[in-house]
Amino acid sequence: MADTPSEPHIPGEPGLWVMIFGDLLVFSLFFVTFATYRMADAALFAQSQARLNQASGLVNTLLLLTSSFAIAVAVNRLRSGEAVRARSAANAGLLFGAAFVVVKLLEYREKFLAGLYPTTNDFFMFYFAFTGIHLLHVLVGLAALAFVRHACGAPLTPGRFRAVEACAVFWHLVDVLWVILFAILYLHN
Amino acid sequence: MIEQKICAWGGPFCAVLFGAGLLIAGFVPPPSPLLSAGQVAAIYRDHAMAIRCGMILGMFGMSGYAALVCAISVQMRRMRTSSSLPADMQLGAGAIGVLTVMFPTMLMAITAFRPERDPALTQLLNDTAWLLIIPAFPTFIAQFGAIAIGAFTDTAPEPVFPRWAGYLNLWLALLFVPGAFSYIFRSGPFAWDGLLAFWVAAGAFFVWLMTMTPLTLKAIGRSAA
Repeated sequence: MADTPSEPHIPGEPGLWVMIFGDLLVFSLFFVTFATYRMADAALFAQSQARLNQASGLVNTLLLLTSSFAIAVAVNRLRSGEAVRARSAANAGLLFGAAFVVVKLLEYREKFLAGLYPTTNDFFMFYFAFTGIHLLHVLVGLAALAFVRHACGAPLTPGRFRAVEACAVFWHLVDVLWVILFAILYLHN
Repeated sequence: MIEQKICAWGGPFCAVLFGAGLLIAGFVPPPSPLLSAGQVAAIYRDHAMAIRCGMILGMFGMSGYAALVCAISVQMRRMRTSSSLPADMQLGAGAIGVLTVMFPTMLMAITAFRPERDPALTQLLNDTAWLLIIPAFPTFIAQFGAIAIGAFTDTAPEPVFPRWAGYLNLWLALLFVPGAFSYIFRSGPFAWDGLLAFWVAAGAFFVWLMTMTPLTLKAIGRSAA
């Protein structure tokens, strides 16, 4: 399992990257679509963007970054055989990830109470659809993190460690996608 | 062996016939959800025969899909997994998936059967057909997900499907999800004729057909050796 500098190591396994790059491709398509619509009605997009809660967006960014860091720590500890300490890092990763979901749902609630729906205008169509699809990724990712946590308690085979790495890579992808979403939906002006 | 190979070729058979059916009917892209009842009725009146014939072809294509689904599960039964769950789930979900495509195809033909009816009714039937087929993602998640589970947990020395095929299936399943938003929007990328709900999802369906056929043929070839 230990990597020597002479042999290149692909995290997870090569096939995993079919999905990672595929997903990045789809989100790139999302962003291009968003940019096209935004150019057609920049005023509406700017004015709608102002109604988003930047603070909760920022909190969520920090939550996911922290969670991603915790999972990276967990994988490292697992690699060096510290199963117990790996598990506490995985727990932290799960906790911060779950907190993201709670903040996101509160944010949706706030929008609904303010009378802002997916059908309000094109900006909110993208806002709800993109963050909704991302939230689905977060839920899948949390299931992957639960697997990582589970793997900390069982005997670690090379195959299992590969699966743990794949889960961690997916979680980092979820993180990266959110950072881009945060930038274009909440900040870009 | 040969019967399995014939069934695996159901993938391209479905892609060609279903694609041709949609093209003949003039449903690429689908009529916009923004059209008034009168405009929808005019489409079904002016293209009644093309729509009826196109839908017959499209329906025929789904027999190929059913055959491919079965060929995949026959191969998946060879997987060394802790239970037959991946093969069974692929078969069950795939079989229901046939219905979620075939039933709206039938409805479109039915809509074109008597186009002189009240336009409001034609619009209702057209809405029903498109809002059955475009948001129908759940069976595909279960079916493609089952293939992924099988590819990931197969411990045979010569696995039935390569692991990348599992990841590809997960990714393609995801591409069906934006279709669900077509219940909400009448225009834009998430409407039933939109970039993400129609083009991307339809593209994913065709990519799936065209990749699972060679993968299954290869698996059949290996099982014969």
